[in-house]
Amino acid sequence: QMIFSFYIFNRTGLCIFYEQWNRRRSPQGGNLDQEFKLMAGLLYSLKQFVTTLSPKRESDSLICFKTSKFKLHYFETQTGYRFALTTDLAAPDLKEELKQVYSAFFVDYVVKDPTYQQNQQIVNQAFRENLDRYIRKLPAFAVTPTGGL
Amino acid sequence: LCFVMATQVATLQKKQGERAFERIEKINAELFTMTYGATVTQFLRDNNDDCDAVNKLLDNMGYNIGIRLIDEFLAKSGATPCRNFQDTAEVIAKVGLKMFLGVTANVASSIDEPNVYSLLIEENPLNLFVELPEELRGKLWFSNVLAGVVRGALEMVMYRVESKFVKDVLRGDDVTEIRVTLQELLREKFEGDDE
Repeated sequence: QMIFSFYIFNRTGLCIFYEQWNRRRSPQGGNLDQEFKLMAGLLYSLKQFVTTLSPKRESDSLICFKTSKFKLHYFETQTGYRFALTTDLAAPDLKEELKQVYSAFFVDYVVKDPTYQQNQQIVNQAFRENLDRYIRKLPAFAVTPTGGL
Repeated sequence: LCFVMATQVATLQKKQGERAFERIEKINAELFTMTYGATVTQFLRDNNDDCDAVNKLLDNMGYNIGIRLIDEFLAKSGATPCRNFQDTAEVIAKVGLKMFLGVTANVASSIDEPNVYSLLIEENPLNLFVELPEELRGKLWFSNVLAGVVRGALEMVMYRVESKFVKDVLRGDDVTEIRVTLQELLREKFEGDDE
């Protein structure tokens, strides 16, 4: 099991935070900004897609999607922050963990940091460190490709 | 049946508010009230007792608190998403105010005006030691920060509102009232949209 990368976007689609762990393939053309734009666009469209195609009238939400090689876990707050985490296919549902990142770290270290302004990159070190520690402790995290047993 | 459901929701919200209040860290009420009082006094001094200017400053300060406080609220209150604008009234009155100020408010609204409601605050901790001098009474909305907080918080969940004090016991009114008027349902705007 492996965790690859983590993104936070704000309501306008700006990537305000990025971190990677067991990611071995560098982003397309080595350009992260391009990747952020691509992902923001994808999430935005996918959300609209989900709402449009939902069989029920009540609001529906995107939880995760998977390809043949990876999974993307997704959590969106009512205030428009979008959290996305990519993992390999063996990882379990990690929506609750993303919620935890929001309520335990993001709110305390980013939102309540008086120097943090909306629409800016997150530079708070305590946030990065706490997130890193939390992600590394998840059962879905493994340092080596053969990690675990 | 409708009435029974409404009462159940009210009880649930009351419980949510109490639970959130228990969970959240507390600070000394006197320190809080006196810090706020000192801020208002300093604003008055800096603005030569220009109450309009001070009202605006307090509202702005509240707005900047509100846009942050809403995340703390959503993450830790356990409140469920509101389905419409009127829903936000009870949640602010019973859960939000309880969680952050330890008090609750009553809501006054009318079916004919779905875009307006009033928060009636009986006990306002900001007022605790305050008596307004004659020359400020009728001009200064002492607790205007609260109106700003409501405006900022609602804007973050896509309700652009006007939020203002219309009554204050400090002015001699029978109750403290914040009137909240919906101005626009904001829509998510994505950066790439215009390109």
